[in-house]
Amino acid sequence: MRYMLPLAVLLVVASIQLARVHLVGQTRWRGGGFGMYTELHPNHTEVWVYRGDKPRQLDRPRVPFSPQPPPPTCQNPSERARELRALPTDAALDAFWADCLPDPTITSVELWKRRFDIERWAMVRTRVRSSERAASSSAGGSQREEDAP
Amino acid sequence: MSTPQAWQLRALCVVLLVFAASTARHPLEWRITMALGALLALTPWLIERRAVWWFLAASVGAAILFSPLSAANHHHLLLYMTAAIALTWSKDREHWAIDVGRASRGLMVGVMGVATLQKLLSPDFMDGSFLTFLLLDGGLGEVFWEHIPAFQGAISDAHKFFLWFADPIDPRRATARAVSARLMPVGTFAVVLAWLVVLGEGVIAALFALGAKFDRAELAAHVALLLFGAGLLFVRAEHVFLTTLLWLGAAVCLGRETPKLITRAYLVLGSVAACVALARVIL
Repeated sequence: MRYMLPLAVLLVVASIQLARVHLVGQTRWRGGGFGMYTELHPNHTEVWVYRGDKPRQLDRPRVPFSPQPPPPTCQNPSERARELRALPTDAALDAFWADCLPDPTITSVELWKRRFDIERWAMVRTRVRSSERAASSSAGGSQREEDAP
Repeated sequence: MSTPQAWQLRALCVVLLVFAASTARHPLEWRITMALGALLALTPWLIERRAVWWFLAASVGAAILFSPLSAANHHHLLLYMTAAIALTWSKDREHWAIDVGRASRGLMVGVMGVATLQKLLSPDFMDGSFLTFLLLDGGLGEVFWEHIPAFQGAISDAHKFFLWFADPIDPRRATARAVSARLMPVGTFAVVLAWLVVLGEGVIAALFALGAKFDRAELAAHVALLLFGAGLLFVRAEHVFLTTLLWLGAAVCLGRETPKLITRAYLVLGSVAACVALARVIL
Protein backbone atom coordinates (compact mmCIF):
# COMPACT_ATOMS: atom_id res chain seq x y z
CA MET A 1 0.00 0.00 0.00
CA ARG A 2 3.04 2.31 -0.15
CA TYR A 3 1.79 3.59 -3.49
CA MET A 4 -1.18 5.24 -1.73
CA LEU A 5 1.03 7.41 0.51
CA PRO A 6 1.62 10.25 -2.05
CA LEU A 7 -2.14 10.51 -2.62
CA ALA A 8 -2.75 10.64 1.14
CA VAL A 9 -0.21 13.47 1.50
CA LEU A 10 -1.76 15.31 -1.46
CA LEU A 11 -5.21 15.13 0.15
CA VAL A 12 -3.94 16.30 3.55
CA VAL A 13 -2.03 19.25 2.04
CA ALA A 14 -4.98 20.23 -0.16
CA SER A 15 -7.38 20.06 2.83
CA ILE A 16 -5.12 22.32 4.88
CA GLN A 17 -4.86 24.76 1.96
CA LEU A 18 -8.65 24.81 1.47
CA ALA A 19 -9.16 25.49 5.17
CA ARG A 20 -6.65 28.37 5.04
CA VAL A 21 -8.36 29.82 1.95
CA HIS A 22 -11.64 30.01 3.85
CA LEU A 23 -10.31 30.84 7.33
CA VAL A 24 -7.47 33.31 6.75
CA GLY A 25 -7.98 34.44 3.14
CA GLN A 26 -4.97 32.68 1.59
CA THR A 27 -4.94 32.72 -2.21
CA ARG A 28 -6.18 29.57 -3.94
CA TRP A 29 -3.16 29.71 -6.26
CA ARG A 30 -0.61 28.74 -3.60
CA GLY A 31 -0.22 26.07 -0.96
CA GLY A 32 -0.62 22.85 -2.94
CA GLY A 33 -4.41 22.91 -3.21
CA PHE A 34 -4.54 22.91 -7.04
CA GLY A 35 -6.79 25.98 -7.02
CA MET A 36 -4.95 27.85 -9.76
CA TYR A 37 -7.13 29.56 -12.35
CA THR A 38 -10.10 29.80 -9.99
CA GLU A 39 -9.65 33.47 -9.10
CA LEU A 40 -7.37 36.35 -10.08
CA HIS A 41 -3.68 35.73 -9.41
CA PRO A 42 -2.35 37.30 -6.16
CA ASN A 43 -0.18 39.59 -8.32
CA HIS A 44 -3.43 41.51 -8.83
CA THR A 45 -3.55 42.36 -5.12
CA GLU A 46 -2.42 45.97 -4.72
CA VAL A 47 -0.32 47.26 -1.84
CA TRP A 48 -0.97 50.97 -1.21
CA VAL A 49 1.12 53.15 1.06
CA TYR A 50 -0.34 56.43 2.33
CA ARG A 51 1.43 59.42 3.78
CA GLY A 52 -1.55 61.34 5.09
CA ASP A 53 -3.84 61.36 2.08
CA LYS A 54 -1.00 61.00 -0.45
CA PRO A 55 -1.16 57.52 -1.95
CA ARG A 56 1.48 55.45 -3.66
CA GLN A 57 1.11 51.93 -5.02
CA LEU A 58 4.04 49.57 -4.58
CA ASP A 59 5.05 47.97 -7.86
CA ARG A 60 3.20 44.80 -8.65
CA PRO A 61 6.14 42.38 -8.73
CA ARG A 62 8.57 44.07 -6.37
CA VAL A 63 9.03 46.67 -3.70
CA PRO A 64 11.17 49.46 -5.14
CA PHE A 65 13.82 50.63 -2.71
CA SER A 66 15.88 52.61 -5.18
CA PRO A 67 17.80 54.76 -4.49
CA GLN A 68 17.99 53.37 -0.92
CA PRO A 69 18.96 49.72 -0.39
CA PRO A 70 16.33 47.54 1.29
CA PRO A 71 16.51 47.64 5.10
CA PRO A 72 18.37 44.77 6.80
CA THR A 73 15.06 43.47 8.18
CA CYS A 74 13.80 42.96 4.62
CA GLN A 75 16.57 41.30 2.63
CA ASN A 76 14.29 39.90 -0.07
CA PRO A 77 11.60 42.55 -0.59
CA SER A 78 10.12 40.93 -3.72
CA GLU A 79 9.61 37.67 -1.88
CA ARG A 80 8.10 39.45 1.14
CA ALA A 81 5.64 41.31 -1.11
CA ARG A 82 4.76 38.08 -2.91
CA GLU A 83 4.11 36.34 0.41
CA LEU A 84 1.97 39.25 1.63
CA ARG A 85 -0.15 39.10 -1.52
CA ALA A 86 -0.53 35.32 -1.21
CA LEU A 87 -1.47 35.45 2.49
CA PRO A 88 -2.90 38.92 3.22
CA THR A 89 -3.56 38.69 6.96
CA ASP A 90 -3.45 41.60 9.42
CA ALA A 91 -0.35 40.12 11.06
CA ALA A 92 1.40 39.70 7.69
CA LEU A 93 0.57 43.30 6.73
CA ASP A 94 1.89 44.66 10.05
CA ALA A 95 5.05 42.55 9.76
CA PHE A 96 5.62 43.72 6.17
CA TRP A 97 5.21 47.34 7.19
CA ALA A 98 7.53 46.99 10.20
CA ASP A 99 10.24 45.12 8.29
CA CYS A 100 10.12 46.57 4.79
CA LEU A 101 8.69 50.10 5.06
CA PRO A 102 10.76 51.91 7.68
CA ASP A 103 9.68 55.40 6.51
CA PRO A 104 8.22 57.11 9.65
CA THR A 105 5.96 59.41 7.57
CA ILE A 106 3.80 56.50 6.39
CA THR A 107 0.41 56.70 8.09
CA SER A 108 -1.43 53.82 6.48
CA VAL A 109 -0.79 50.67 4.43
CA GLU A 110 -3.71 49.04 2.63
CA LEU A 111 -4.26 45.90 0.58
CA TRP A 112 -6.81 46.05 -2.24
CA LYS A 113 -7.93 43.03 -4.23
CA ARG A 114 -8.76 43.52 -7.85
CA ARG A 115 -11.39 41.34 -9.52
CA PHE A 116 -13.73 41.30 -12.45
CA ASP A 117 -17.40 41.42 -11.36
CA ILE A 118 -19.56 39.83 -14.03
CA GLU A 119 -22.80 41.04 -12.37
CA ARG A 120 -21.73 44.69 -12.57
CA TRP A 121 -19.73 44.07 -15.76
CA ALA A 122 -16.90 46.06 -14.24
CA MET A 123 -13.43 45.79 -12.79
CA VAL A 124 -13.67 46.40 -9.06
CA ARG A 125 -11.27 46.92 -6.18
CA THR A 126 -12.08 45.83 -2.65
CA ARG A 127 -10.01 46.75 0.41
CA VAL A 128 -9.15 43.51 2.18
CA ARG A 129 -6.73 44.73 4.85
CA SER A 130 -5.56 48.04 6.23
CA SER A 131 -3.24 49.12 8.97
CA GLU A 132 -2.93 52.65 10.35
CA ARG A 133 -0.40 54.43 12.48
CA ALA A 134 0.16 58.06 13.50
CA ALA A 135 3.02 59.63 11.53
CA SER A 136 6.15 60.25 13.57
CA SER A 137 6.54 63.98 14.34
CA SER A 138 10.32 63.64 14.24
CA ALA A 139 10.29 62.53 10.62
CA GLY A 140 11.37 65.92 9.32
CA GLY A 141 10.27 65.22 5.76
CA SER A 142 9.81 62.01 3.86
CA GLN A 143 12.78 59.84 2.96
CA ARG A 144 10.89 58.66 -0.10
CA GLU A 145 9.28 61.85 -1.31
CA GLU A 146 10.87 61.29 -4.72
CA ASP A 147 8.77 58.12 -5.13
CA ALA A 148 5.43 59.77 -4.49
CA PRO A 149 3.08 60.07 -7.48
CA MET B 1 17.61 0.07 -20.15
CA SER B 2 15.10 0.33 -22.97
CA THR B 3 12.10 -0.81 -20.93
CA PRO B 4 8.99 1.42 -20.74
CA GLN B 5 9.84 2.02 -17.07
CA ALA B 6 13.32 3.32 -17.91
CA TRP B 7 11.95 5.64 -20.61
CA GLN B 8 9.33 6.90 -18.15
CA LEU B 9 12.07 7.74 -15.63
CA ARG B 10 14.12 9.52 -18.30
CA ALA B 11 11.04 11.53 -19.28
CA LEU B 12 10.64 12.62 -15.64
CA CYS B 13 14.28 13.78 -15.62
CA VAL B 14 13.46 15.95 -18.64
CA VAL B 15 10.38 17.34 -16.85
CA LEU B 16 12.61 18.19 -13.86
CA LEU B 17 15.06 19.96 -16.17
CA VAL B 18 12.21 22.04 -17.64
CA PHE B 19 11.09 22.76 -14.07
CA ALA B 20 14.58 23.91 -12.98
CA ALA B 21 14.95 26.08 -16.08
CA SER B 22 11.53 27.72 -15.64
CA THR B 23 11.73 28.50 -11.92
CA ALA B 24 13.58 31.81 -11.97
CA ARG B 25 12.63 32.92 -8.46
CA HIS B 26 14.54 30.14 -6.69
CA PRO B 27 18.23 30.62 -5.82
CA LEU B 28 20.66 29.89 -8.64
CA GLU B 29 22.46 27.32 -6.45
CA TRP B 30 19.26 25.36 -6.02
CA ARG B 31 18.48 25.49 -9.75
CA ILE B 32 21.96 24.24 -10.64
CA THR B 33 21.75 21.42 -8.07
CA MET B 34 18.31 20.42 -9.32
CA ALA B 35 19.36 20.51 -12.98
CA LEU B 36 22.60 18.61 -12.31
CA GLY B 37 20.71 16.01 -10.29
CA ALA B 38 18.20 15.49 -13.12
CA LEU B 39 20.98 15.36 -15.73
CA LEU B 40 23.03 12.84 -13.75
CA ALA B 41 19.91 10.77 -13.11
CA LEU B 42 19.64 10.32 -16.88
CA THR B 43 22.84 8.27 -16.90
CA PRO B 44 22.55 4.45 -16.91
CA TRP B 45 24.56 4.24 -13.66
CA LEU B 46 22.26 6.43 -11.60
CA ILE B 47 18.78 6.13 -13.10
CA GLU B 48 18.38 2.69 -11.50
CA ARG B 49 19.30 3.85 -8.00
CA ARG B 50 16.60 4.53 -5.45
CA ALA B 51 18.70 7.13 -3.59
CA VAL B 52 18.70 9.33 -6.72
CA TRP B 53 14.91 9.59 -6.58
CA TRP B 54 14.97 10.39 -2.88
CA PHE B 55 17.53 13.10 -3.63
CA LEU B 56 15.34 14.60 -6.38
CA ALA B 57 12.26 14.42 -4.13
CA ALA B 58 14.21 16.15 -1.33
CA SER B 59 15.37 18.89 -3.74
CA VAL B 60 11.82 19.66 -4.83
CA GLY B 61 10.65 19.47 -1.22
CA ALA B 62 13.36 21.94 -0.17
CA ALA B 63 12.09 24.46 -2.73
CA ILE B 64 8.60 24.19 -1.23
CA LEU B 65 9.85 24.43 2.36
CA PHE B 66 12.08 27.45 1.70
CA SER B 67 9.22 29.40 0.20
CA PRO B 68 5.84 27.74 0.74
CA LEU B 69 3.81 30.74 -0.45
CA SER B 70 5.78 31.02 -3.68
CA ALA B 71 5.76 27.35 -4.61
CA ALA B 72 3.43 26.62 -7.50
CA ASN B 73 1.18 23.57 -7.71
CA HIS B 74 3.57 21.76 -10.05
CA HIS B 75 6.21 21.93 -7.26
CA HIS B 76 3.87 19.84 -5.10
CA LEU B 77 2.97 17.48 -7.93
CA LEU B 78 6.64 16.87 -8.78
CA LEU B 79 7.36 16.17 -5.11
CA TYR B 80 4.59 13.56 -4.97
CA MET B 81 5.74 11.98 -8.24
CA THR B 82 9.42 11.68 -7.33
CA ALA B 83 8.52 10.47 -3.82
CA ALA B 84 6.14 7.87 -5.33
CA ILE B 85 8.98 6.47 -7.47
CA ALA B 86 11.33 6.25 -4.48
CA LEU B 87 8.66 4.81 -2.16
CA THR B 88 7.58 2.03 -4.52
CA TRP B 89 11.13 1.17 -5.68
CA SER B 90 11.65 -2.57 -6.10
CA LYS B 91 14.20 -4.82 -7.79
CA ASP B 92 11.28 -6.67 -9.33
CA ARG B 93 10.77 -4.29 -12.25
CA GLU B 94 7.34 -5.64 -13.22
CA HIS B 95 6.07 -5.23 -9.67
CA TRP B 96 7.57 -1.75 -9.43
CA ALA B 97 5.93 -0.67 -12.72
CA ILE B 98 2.52 -1.78 -11.43
CA ASP B 99 3.01 0.12 -8.16
CA VAL B 100 4.17 3.34 -9.89
CA GLY B 101 1.19 3.06 -12.25
CA ARG B 102 -1.15 2.74 -9.25
CA ALA B 103 0.48 5.66 -7.42
CA SER B 104 0.21 7.81 -10.56
CA ARG B 105 -3.44 6.90 -10.98
CA GLY B 106 -4.13 7.87 -7.38
CA LEU B 107 -2.33 11.19 -7.83
CA MET B 108 -4.19 11.91 -11.06
CA VAL B 109 -7.56 11.25 -9.40
CA GLY B 110 -6.48 13.41 -6.46
CA VAL B 111 -5.24 16.33 -8.57
CA MET B 112 -8.25 16.45 -10.88
CA GLY B 113 -10.71 15.79 -8.04
CA VAL B 114 -9.28 18.53 -5.81
CA ALA B 115 -9.06 20.95 -8.77
CA THR B 116 -12.77 20.31 -9.47
CA LEU B 117 -13.66 20.92 -5.82
CA GLN B 118 -11.64 24.17 -5.75
CA LYS B 119 -13.51 25.45 -8.80
CA LEU B 120 -16.90 24.48 -7.37
CA LEU B 121 -16.04 26.36 -4.15
CA SER B 122 -14.84 29.51 -5.93
CA PRO B 123 -17.67 32.00 -6.56
CA ASP B 124 -15.48 33.99 -8.99
CA PHE B 125 -14.93 30.90 -11.11
CA MET B 126 -18.47 29.53 -11.07
CA ASP B 127 -20.19 32.80 -11.99
CA GLY B 128 -17.79 33.27 -14.93
CA SER B 129 -16.09 36.39 -13.53
CA PHE B 130 -12.60 34.93 -13.56
CA LEU B 131 -12.81 33.37 -17.02
CA THR B 132 -14.30 36.58 -18.44
CA PHE B 133 -11.24 38.43 -17.16
CA LEU B 134 -8.92 35.76 -18.55
CA LEU B 135 -10.62 35.87 -21.96
CA LEU B 136 -10.72 39.67 -22.18
CA ASP B 137 -7.15 39.96 -20.94
CA GLY B 138 -6.02 37.61 -23.73
CA GLY B 139 -4.75 34.97 -21.28
CA LEU B 140 -6.87 32.27 -22.88
CA GLY B 141 -6.53 31.47 -26.56
CA GLU B 142 -4.11 34.31 -27.19
CA VAL B 143 -2.87 32.57 -30.34
CA PHE B 144 -6.37 32.68 -31.83
CA TRP B 145 -7.29 36.21 -30.80
CA GLU B 146 -4.16 37.60 -32.36
CA HIS B 147 -5.08 36.19 -35.77
CA ILE B 148 -8.79 37.07 -35.92
CA PRO B 149 -9.09 40.82 -36.67
CA ALA B 150 -12.64 41.10 -35.25
CA PHE B 151 -11.51 39.73 -31.88
CA GLN B 152 -8.07 41.31 -31.90
CA GLY B 153 -9.50 44.85 -31.60
CA ALA B 154 -11.87 43.93 -28.78
CA ILE B 155 -9.24 42.02 -26.79
CA SER B 156 -6.69 44.75 -27.34
CA ASP B 157 -9.17 47.38 -26.06
CA ALA B 158 -10.01 45.27 -23.00
CA HIS B 159 -6.34 44.60 -22.29
CA LYS B 160 -5.57 48.34 -22.41
CA PHE B 161 -8.53 48.94 -20.12
CA PHE B 162 -7.18 46.47 -17.54
CA LEU B 163 -3.72 48.01 -17.73
CA TRP B 164 -5.25 51.43 -17.24
CA PHE B 165 -7.24 50.19 -14.25
CA ALA B 166 -4.03 48.75 -12.80
CA ASP B 167 -2.31 52.12 -13.12
CA PRO B 168 -1.66 53.89 -9.85
CA ILE B 169 -5.01 55.52 -9.28
CA ASP B 170 -5.90 55.94 -5.60
CA PRO B 171 -8.26 52.99 -4.95
CA ARG B 172 -10.20 55.08 -2.39
CA ARG B 173 -11.29 57.27 -5.31
CA ALA B 174 -11.71 54.62 -8.04
CA THR B 175 -13.15 51.36 -6.79
CA ALA B 176 -14.92 50.31 -9.99
CA ARG B 177 -14.78 50.89 -13.74
CA ALA B 178 -17.41 49.53 -16.13
CA VAL B 179 -16.16 47.55 -19.13
CA SER B 180 -17.59 48.20 -22.59
CA ALA B 181 -21.06 46.63 -22.93
CA ARG B 182 -20.30 45.37 -26.43
CA LEU B 183 -18.01 42.74 -24.86
CA MET B 184 -20.84 41.15 -22.84
CA PRO B 185 -21.14 38.07 -25.11
CA VAL B 186 -17.69 37.10 -23.80
CA GLY B 187 -19.27 36.85 -20.33
CA THR B 188 -21.94 34.43 -21.57
CA PHE B 189 -19.26 32.29 -23.23
CA ALA B 190 -17.18 32.40 -20.02
CA VAL B 191 -20.08 31.00 -17.93
CA VAL B 192 -20.51 28.09 -20.36
CA LEU B 193 -16.74 27.52 -20.41
CA ALA B 194 -16.61 27.51 -16.59
CA TRP B 195 -19.13 24.69 -16.42
CA LEU B 196 -17.38 22.80 -19.23
CA VAL B 197 -14.05 23.00 -17.37
CA VAL B 198 -15.57 21.83 -14.07
CA LEU B 199 -17.41 18.96 -15.75
CA GLY B 200 -14.32 18.05 -17.80
CA GLU B 201 -12.02 17.89 -14.77
CA GLY B 202 -14.60 15.96 -12.74
CA VAL B 203 -15.12 13.46 -15.57
CA ILE B 204 -11.35 12.96 -15.99
CA ALA B 205 -10.99 12.24 -12.25
CA ALA B 206 -13.90 9.77 -12.36
CA LEU B 207 -12.64 8.04 -15.52
CA PHE B 208 -9.15 7.54 -14.10
CA ALA B 209 -10.69 6.09 -10.91
CA LEU B 210 -12.90 3.73 -12.93
CA GLY B 211 -9.97 2.89 -15.23
CA ALA B 212 -8.45 0.76 -12.47
CA LYS B 213 -11.25 -1.77 -13.10
CA PHE B 214 -12.52 -1.09 -16.61
CA ASP B 215 -10.34 -0.91 -19.74
CA ARG B 216 -12.78 1.27 -21.67
CA ALA B 217 -12.89 3.85 -18.89
CA GLU B 218 -9.08 3.78 -18.86
CA LEU B 219 -8.92 4.50 -22.58
CA ALA B 220 -11.53 7.27 -22.31
CA ALA B 221 -9.60 8.79 -19.38
CA HIS B 222 -6.39 9.05 -21.42
CA VAL B 223 -8.22 10.52 -24.43
CA ALA B 224 -10.00 13.06 -22.19
CA LEU B 225 -6.73 14.03 -20.46
CA LEU B 226 -4.95 14.48 -23.80
CA LEU B 227 -7.79 16.72 -25.07
CA PHE B 228 -7.70 18.68 -21.80
CA GLY B 229 -3.92 18.99 -22.14
CA ALA B 230 -4.23 20.23 -25.71
CA GLY B 231 -6.64 22.90 -24.40
CA LEU B 232 -4.20 23.92 -21.65
CA LEU B 233 -1.59 24.64 -24.33
CA PHE B 234 -3.61 27.76 -25.08
CA VAL B 235 -3.61 29.06 -21.50
CA ARG B 236 -0.89 31.59 -20.77
CA ALA B 237 1.92 30.40 -18.46
CA GLU B 238 0.53 26.96 -17.81
CA HIS B 239 3.09 24.87 -19.66
CA VAL B 240 5.32 23.58 -16.84
CA PHE B 241 2.26 22.28 -14.99
CA LEU B 242 0.99 20.75 -18.24
CA THR B 243 4.32 18.97 -18.85
CA THR B 244 4.11 17.55 -15.32
CA LEU B 245 0.47 16.50 -15.68
CA LEU B 246 1.11 14.74 -19.00
CA TRP B 247 4.03 12.80 -17.49
CA LEU B 248 1.64 11.68 -14.75
CA GLY B 249 -0.93 10.58 -17.35
CA ALA B 250 1.70 8.55 -19.20
CA ALA B 251 2.89 6.99 -15.91
CA VAL B 252 -0.63 5.62 -15.30
CA CYS B 253 0.00 3.39 -18.36
CA LEU B 254 2.89 1.62 -16.56
CA GLY B 255 2.14 -2.00 -15.76
CA ARG B 256 -0.98 -1.95 -17.98
CA GLU B 257 -1.73 -2.83 -21.58
CA THR B 258 -2.24 0.55 -23.24
CA PRO B 259 -2.45 1.26 -27.00
CA LYS B 260 0.87 2.59 -28.31
CA LEU B 261 -1.00 5.51 -29.90
CA ILE B 262 -1.84 6.82 -26.41
CA THR B 263 1.76 6.71 -25.17
CA ARG B 264 2.95 8.35 -28.40
CA ALA B 265 0.31 11.08 -28.03
CA TYR B 266 1.60 11.76 -24.46
CA LEU B 267 5.15 11.94 -25.82
CA VAL B 268 4.23 14.38 -28.61
CA LEU B 269 2.00 16.64 -26.49
CA GLY B 270 4.42 16.55 -23.55
CA SER B 271 7.30 17.50 -25.85
CA VAL B 272 5.31 20.41 -27.28
CA ALA B 273 4.44 21.64 -23.76
CA ALA B 274 8.09 21.30 -22.64
CA CYS B 275 9.33 23.18 -25.72
CA VAL B 276 6.80 26.00 -25.18
CA ALA B 277 7.81 26.21 -21.49
CA LEU B 278 11.50 26.44 -22.41
CA ALA B 279 10.79 28.90 -25.24
CA ARG B 280 9.09 31.20 -22.72
CA VAL B 281 12.29 31.15 -20.64
CA ILE B 282 14.70 31.62 -23.55
CA LEU B 283 12.77 34.05 -25.77
